[in-house]
Amino acid sequence: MMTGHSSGFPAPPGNVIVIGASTGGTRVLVELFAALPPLAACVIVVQHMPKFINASLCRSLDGQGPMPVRLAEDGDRLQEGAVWIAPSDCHCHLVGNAAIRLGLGPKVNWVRPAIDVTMQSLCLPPPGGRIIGVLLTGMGSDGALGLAHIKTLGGLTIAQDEKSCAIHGMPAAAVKLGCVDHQLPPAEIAALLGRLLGAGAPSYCRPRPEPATV
Amino acid sequence: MQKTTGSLTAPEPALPAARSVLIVDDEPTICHCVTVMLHGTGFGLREAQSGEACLEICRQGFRGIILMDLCMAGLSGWETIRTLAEEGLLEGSLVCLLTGSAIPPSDCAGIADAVFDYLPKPFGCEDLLAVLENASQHLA
Repeated sequence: MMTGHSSGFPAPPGNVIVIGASTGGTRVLVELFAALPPLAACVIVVQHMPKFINASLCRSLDGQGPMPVRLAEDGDRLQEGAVWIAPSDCHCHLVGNAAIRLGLGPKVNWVRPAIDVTMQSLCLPPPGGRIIGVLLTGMGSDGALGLAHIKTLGGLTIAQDEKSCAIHGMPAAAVKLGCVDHQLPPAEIAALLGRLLGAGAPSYCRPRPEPATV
Repeated sequence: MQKTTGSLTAPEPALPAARSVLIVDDEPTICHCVTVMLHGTGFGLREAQSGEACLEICRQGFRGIILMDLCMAGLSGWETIRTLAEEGLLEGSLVCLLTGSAIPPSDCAGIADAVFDYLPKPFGCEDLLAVLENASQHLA
């Protein structure tokens, strides 16, 4: 059940990034999050995975960089500088680009959560706001139509390049639709996101963890 | 480590799922290479040289990291993964594909989310361990 809007909540975020991944995605996400600076955007990650590793993926990514990472719950309000992971076995819808609604429903592209469902639930951002879709390694074609939808909203789309992909199926499907602005390896995806949305990160981001010294 | 009690020898404790690997490949060379690569790494290895053998080992309770070749005589890798999923035998295990071929989208329909990672053939020790260590932290 959605929580009601309160004047204590910040305004709906203007910048939203949805990252979709499947087979091989957990390793790419670790590499990506270790390189990302704090972002002035709310980030939603849809990773196809069995339910029993939902918590471990959250822990793994939460320790990588300065943005807190949590498993999404129904009714969560999105905040810039934070990351939500879509839980397994339900679709993750974004309502007004501001809140999360989890729902059961038939599988889409044979999966649930489907990257397409999350990306296609995005709507036009407020003036000056930015929508970015990122599609990483995986089999099948989930996320291709999602990136196409983001293009219709005037957003930016990024697909992981073939050379760095464990499996290029999903990114290739998006490229085939002609809706990909950039094809990049994970380090360059992080660098691009940092250039576009790295300034003005909110104060509740943690300092980047210092690398362990040997 | 073994303990002795009189004339009885206690069995070695089973490895946890996070350190247990099942290689499913009908090429003995691949199984041998993986055995050599994992020597001294702390991963315990079992072998199945067919999809049918894999199913039997999992039905007997194996849980851990399953390295699955796709092109096998008899039950293919895809058919094996589907059967594992249908029988609920993937709870507590993570599947990593081993293949040297491209993957047609139609082959993986319905089970794409059952495949955690992918290791293209030929692979080296470093690539294998990177895949295993990543999977291992999610089984700990």
